[in-house]
Amino acid sequence: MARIQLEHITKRYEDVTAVDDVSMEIEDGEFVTFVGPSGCGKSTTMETVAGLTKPTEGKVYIGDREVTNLAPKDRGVAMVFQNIALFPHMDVFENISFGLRLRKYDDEEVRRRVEQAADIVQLEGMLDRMPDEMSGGQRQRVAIARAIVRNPDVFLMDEPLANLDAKLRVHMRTELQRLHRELGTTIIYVTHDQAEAMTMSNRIAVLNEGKLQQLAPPLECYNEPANLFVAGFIGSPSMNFVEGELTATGFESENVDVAFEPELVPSVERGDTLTLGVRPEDVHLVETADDVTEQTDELYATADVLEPMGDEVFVYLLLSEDADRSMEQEPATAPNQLLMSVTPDTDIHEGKEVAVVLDRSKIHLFETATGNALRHRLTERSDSDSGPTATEADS
Amino acid sequence: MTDDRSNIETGIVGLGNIGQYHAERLRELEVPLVGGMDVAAEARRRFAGRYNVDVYEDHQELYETVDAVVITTPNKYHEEYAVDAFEQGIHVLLEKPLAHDYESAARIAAAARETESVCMVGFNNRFANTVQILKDRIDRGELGDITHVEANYVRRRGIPGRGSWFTRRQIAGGGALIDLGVHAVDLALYLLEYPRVTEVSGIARSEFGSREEYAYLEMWGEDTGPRGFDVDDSASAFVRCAEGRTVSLEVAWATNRPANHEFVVRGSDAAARFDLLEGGLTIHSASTRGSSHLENTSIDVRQNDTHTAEQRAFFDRIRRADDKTDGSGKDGGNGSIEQALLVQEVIDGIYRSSDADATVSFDE
Repeated sequence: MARIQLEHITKRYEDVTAVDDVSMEIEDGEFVTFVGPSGCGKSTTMETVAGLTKPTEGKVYIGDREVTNLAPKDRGVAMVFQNIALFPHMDVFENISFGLRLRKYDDEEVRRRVEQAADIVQLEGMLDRMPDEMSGGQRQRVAIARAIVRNPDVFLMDEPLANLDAKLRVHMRTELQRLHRELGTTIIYVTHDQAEAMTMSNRIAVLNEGKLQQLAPPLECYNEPANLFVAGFIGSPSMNFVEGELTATGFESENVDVAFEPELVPSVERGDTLTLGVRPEDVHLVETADDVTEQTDELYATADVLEPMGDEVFVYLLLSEDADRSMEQEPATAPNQLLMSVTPDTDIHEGKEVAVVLDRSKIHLFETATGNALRHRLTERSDSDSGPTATEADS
Repeated sequence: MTDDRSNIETGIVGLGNIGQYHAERLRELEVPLVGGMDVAAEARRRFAGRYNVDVYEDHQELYETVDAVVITTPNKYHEEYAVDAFEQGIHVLLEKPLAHDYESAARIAAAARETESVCMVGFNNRFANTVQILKDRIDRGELGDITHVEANYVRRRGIPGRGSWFTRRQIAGGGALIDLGVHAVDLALYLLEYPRVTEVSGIARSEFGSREEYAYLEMWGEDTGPRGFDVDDSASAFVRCAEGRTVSLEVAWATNRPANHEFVVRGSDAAARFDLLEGGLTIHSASTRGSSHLENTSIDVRQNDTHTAEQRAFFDRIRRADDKTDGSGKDGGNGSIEQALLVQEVIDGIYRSSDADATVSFDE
């Protein structure tokens, strides 16, 4: 087991900076997920830990050792990839033991380790099967067992579940969590699937355009996103954003005004452009908002489209500035839209005119120019703990 | 010491024509050829008779006696023989392509990364004197920034062994594109210093091999007719790389046009043209010195046996085994496995592009 440290890692290709000055520390035994959209640099960052890519600048440490220039096989890491890379001409035992046999372990030790790994991934009794006789999920377990027998300091997993069907993927998530609990090995896990990131990890590292946006526990990324990118990326459906201005009385925009003391956001000035963020579940119909202790003023809207999801209903609201001045003046455009999620028993239908409030304790304010978070709740009392989190959490 | 290969006991896996071709060259280089393996009894008998060495039906028996192997089997079997060799710490010279498909190629590369064995893929055209001279000039900056490579590997009528494994997708993984295209793609990327590939677009066609009345003058291997021919016999493709560098690719076993093995390498200061079969190298430049003029410099080159040069490089690398290149740098080594894997990815991308009738992106 080992901690991992990335120091100012940059990877430049001819015309692209794939990873841009990423630094982070991953604790011994931690499960950290790298998440971000396609091309964000998450795989390349992982490859610098694996040794498959040499960083243009920066250093990689595993344990107390600098490994920046070491070959993959000398780093004490084991990798599991998306394409389930089992040798088709070898049975399960031979596939799992390949790395051990390369390293000339004696037969008894090989057998002991293979049986133990097969036990952990629940493949007992299947050691003489050929890969083409197994299901996709079983093959993925063989691939994981092959990593386990190496007894690595670090597991590196790049979208290992991406090729599995949705049901199996959910099942394998819990398997991997169990595995992490049992082995206690440090895991770096790369995925574009934020549900995987949220459910499995101790901390998630959100990357975009090669830069680390936030490294924090999943709920912290959700509740206190460091910037607009994280706020928009984490959470499904995405957070609502409304662009407006800081005035003497708070936030003002065409459709949404939220009163607060401007002193709550001391780092910006009146007249600066701000972006207000609120998640769909923090938008409430007035009549069902009794539990929301601190509410904004009422906003008036029309329920435009309803998307029943089973356990909840997504309501696309078209906002009007006030009840009298409605949509007729301007066509509905995205800035007028607000997504609300409600329970299926809510009395609402398409075309219904409604009044909604926002939960002030769940409102986020961002500086539009930089995207950085300014504040994560707009409750009346000044709460010094509710400021933005640092880009790099120091937990 | 520098040329001493006498202690590297070497075997051949796959004793067909290419296996024998390699065996001849091993002898020339005074490498001890100690055995061969083939699943076909007739091939074993012929090889044993010709080279007076032990032959085996089971590769593991051969592997107990050798330090290095040259693998020349049909593409689909590369993985088993190469991976099992790595497991025994045996060095591998693997005939191109790396594998019959990308997944298999990736598995071979993954296994190669874990082993101390040298693994080189047989892109012999790199070792042509013409190419080495041009590469040296590119490295010295004489052509400026290289922007585009026209890569042609076009036969007019040259389907190999029609009806044999070469023309069966299940074993070869493809036709002209995987057989000849790997040479063209490797050479183009090699001259471009193996840039990042961003997307490919291409078409693989099958127009001649399945015809009863296929007209040809010579055939490499035996013609058993069109039955079972299920691969492409020509392909056209465009490969886009980082910084606007590009490769246009024409590959054919058979096509209605004269044969063409011309490579044109375009740079910001000059271009180079060479023909893989004819040899010779021409540098095309222009200048305003004195008066505006265009200049074509013809360079006469001694033709060399590229397979011998490739084998020599392989054995040199075994002797410097600690110097195993990882393919990430410019000097990625001759036949570095990471480069061979990228070639396979490009070939796979062209097939996918052809099947989907769309461009295939290589982004993360």
